[in-house]
Amino acid sequence: MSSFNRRDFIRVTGLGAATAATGLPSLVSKANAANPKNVVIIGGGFAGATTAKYLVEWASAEGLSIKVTLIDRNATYASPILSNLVLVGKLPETSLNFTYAALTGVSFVQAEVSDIDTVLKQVTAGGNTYAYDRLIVAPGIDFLDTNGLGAPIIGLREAIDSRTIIPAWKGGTDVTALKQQLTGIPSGTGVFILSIPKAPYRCPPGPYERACVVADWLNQNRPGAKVIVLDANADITAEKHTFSTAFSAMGVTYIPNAHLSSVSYANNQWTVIASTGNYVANVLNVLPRQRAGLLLDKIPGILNASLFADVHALTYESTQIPGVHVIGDAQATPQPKAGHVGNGEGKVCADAILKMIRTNSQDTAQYIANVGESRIPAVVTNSACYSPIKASTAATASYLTVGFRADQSNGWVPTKISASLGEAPSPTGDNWKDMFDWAENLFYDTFNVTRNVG
Amino acid sequence: MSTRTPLFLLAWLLPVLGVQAASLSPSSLTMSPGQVAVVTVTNIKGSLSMTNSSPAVAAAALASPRITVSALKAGSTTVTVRDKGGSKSLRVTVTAPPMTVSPESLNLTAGQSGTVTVSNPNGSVRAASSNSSIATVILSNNLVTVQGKMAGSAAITIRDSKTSRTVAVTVTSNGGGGGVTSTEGRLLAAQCFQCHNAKGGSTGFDRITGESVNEIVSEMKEMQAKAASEPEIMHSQAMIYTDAEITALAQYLASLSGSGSGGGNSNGGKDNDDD
Ligand SMILES: Cc1cc2nc3c(=O)[nH]c(=O)nc-3n(C[C@H](O)[C@H](O)[C@H](O)COP(=O)(O)OP(=O)(O)OC[C@H]3O[C@@H](n4cnc5c(N)ncnc54)[C@H](O)[C@@H]3O)c2cc1C
Ligand code: HEC
Repeated sequence: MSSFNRRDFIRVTGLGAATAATGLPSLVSKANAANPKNVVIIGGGFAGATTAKYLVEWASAEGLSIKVTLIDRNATYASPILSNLVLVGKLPETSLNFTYAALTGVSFVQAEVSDIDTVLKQVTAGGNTYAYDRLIVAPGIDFLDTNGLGAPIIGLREAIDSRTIIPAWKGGTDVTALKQQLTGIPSGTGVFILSIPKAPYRCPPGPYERACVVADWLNQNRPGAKVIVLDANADITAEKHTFSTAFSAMGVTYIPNAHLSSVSYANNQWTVIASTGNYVANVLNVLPRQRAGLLLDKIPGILNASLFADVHALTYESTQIPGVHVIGDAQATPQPKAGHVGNGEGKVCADAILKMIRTNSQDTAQYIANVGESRIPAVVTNSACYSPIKASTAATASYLTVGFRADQSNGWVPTKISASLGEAPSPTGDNWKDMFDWAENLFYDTFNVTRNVG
Repeated sequence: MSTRTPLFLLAWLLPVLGVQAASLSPSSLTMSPGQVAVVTVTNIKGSLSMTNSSPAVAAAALASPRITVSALKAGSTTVTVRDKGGSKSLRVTVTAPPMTVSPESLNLTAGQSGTVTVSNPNGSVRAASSNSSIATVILSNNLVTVQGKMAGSAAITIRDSKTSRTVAVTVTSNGGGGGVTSTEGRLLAAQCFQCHNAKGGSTGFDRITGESVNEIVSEMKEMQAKAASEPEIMHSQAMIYTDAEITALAQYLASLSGSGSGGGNSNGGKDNDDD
């Protein structure tokens, strides 16, 4: 007789607070001052910090009451952007450090996230539990031990753990540690090997930029010492013209399709065995293959086979785990893994989350249904990288930029706008100056901190 | 113990000997008004008679070996049959039908109204919206009028004294003011702020606030025109946007007060930067 089926159960319990505990979608959650929505962000890099900032700013502009909690394991964020200039002594390490103090309205928690429960919708960090209505994860990247062919690189993990190989791809003290190794290179015979991983990796031009500024530093300070680039990719992956020109001018040896199989240190030198041959070096800087930050292993099922998270570019909500948004280097859209575009993804995510809250949408599909897909404007983002090429005297830099559009016609997959692809015809002193203006703006836009770097 | 065994056995044997009352199948009924059910009587010993305690709740007609029960109104009644073997009772419960609502879901555009009909209410009816900024309700004569206010989902709960029903309402934007406020211009313009500071505080490129819509639009168009011949990062940037997007972002930028914006680069942005 009773027609009290599961559907009714969902509807009836949806009226109460029981939904959080059952994990069932609620049709009737309300956003109001008495019951502000909790948005928890894990990872305060370019992507996460920007999202926190804009969520607070836009919610208050719209009169929407939300609570934004930003959790990062570090109290100080070290920008990888411009960090190659720390490596060659152009900038002090601390000039790239930022705290979250200027992000007004954001409650910052310094803690390592130890658990994420997407059913109970809560995050555990530093022994405390943070309930969320929407979770944003922006943990950046972590490293893999395998080469571009999927085979393990023998000796790599141990060398990284013992800090004899320092990737220095996350900014901060690692960069200073690598700088110390660099200064130990002798003139004359010294060799710095840079191993570039198979794409996708953080900042496509970044490794080539490092090869250039290191070669420039060696030319100035250790005459005769040289740089060898072992690239797992078949060719220079970004700004090929700029970098190949600079490599020949600076005497950088570039070897494509180089897959490392082992690294070992003996008699004060590194021996690298690669698919292209054996090499020796005084300093071996391996940029390992990359995957989404290990944090995402705490959310089973969120990673795709390449170990990044597939998201819907309209909201950056995971296509696998509703309620969880992934932005920045950890997500798997075709956009480059870079801080400028990660900042832009954060803004898209913040805007979408506010709309989802406003429309009581539990997930992206419901949001699209609520607003009407044909009424949703295209999502437009852009990437910009400035690369220092020569930092010693007569300093120069190059740039690379491109826009992406995701809309109904391309299934909301961010797609390169080819007419907007631009790169510096050649490295210039003007670009060198622009690089600092850009970085200072990006820092301000992300952390609300005014910094004169250049 | 041995003296008790025959008594126990006898009690056990009575049914087999056929000294028990008739049986009813089914032995109880739960019905709603208007429903008719047939009950079969078996094992009848001699003549069968029937009484009905509340004929107003359900009518019972005996045509041996069957009783036809017609449910009339909410309540309960006991129908008793008697034969030589004794009596047996049939409990008949008539429940009022639960209130129903139709339809159970509504799709509206903002500003549009729809109605939900309530049937078989018990006692007084109330209706409420889970989010009255998305949908509102007015109840009159068992008719619930739902009006879409802005895009979103809301649940309309309709209750009588016994039942609670939910109507899922989805409101889509009507493309105009009734929907989610468009933030297209704001989001597009925010994608300029990595390079052009919005609120000041840092140095940087030219300020892009404090200009009119027309100024921004014409500068963007000019830079698009130069993209092929004069490669510059901003010329490439201008190529990203459609005309409609440029207008939307220019409207947002022009609406920002210029005060404080770009304060750090009032003396010329990049050209004056010393690094
Ligand atoms: C040499 C170099 C040059 C670069 N140049 C450019 C450039 O010109 N332009 C550009 O756009 N990009 C550039 N990049 C890339 C840019 O730095 C990254 O893409 C960007 O930092 C990624 O941002 P993110 O927010 O995704 O991750 P991250 O910046 O890595 O931030 C992730 C944060 O999450 C935190 N975290 C991770 N796990 C946990 C946990 N379990 N608990 C708590 N906190 C956690 C970390 O502490 C960190 O603060 C460059 C990178 C390098 C190395
Ligand atoms: C990657 C960095 C970058 C982004 C992103 C960017 N710009 Fe620019 N923009 C520049 C640079 C560099 C210049 C020229 C340098 C200067 O300011 O003098 C410039 C110049 C301009 C000018 C011309 C000013 C003048 O007086 O001629 C306008 C207008 C402008 N940008 C608008 C925008 C708008 C609108 C957006 C967003 C849709 C945007 N920019 C995004 C880097 C950027």
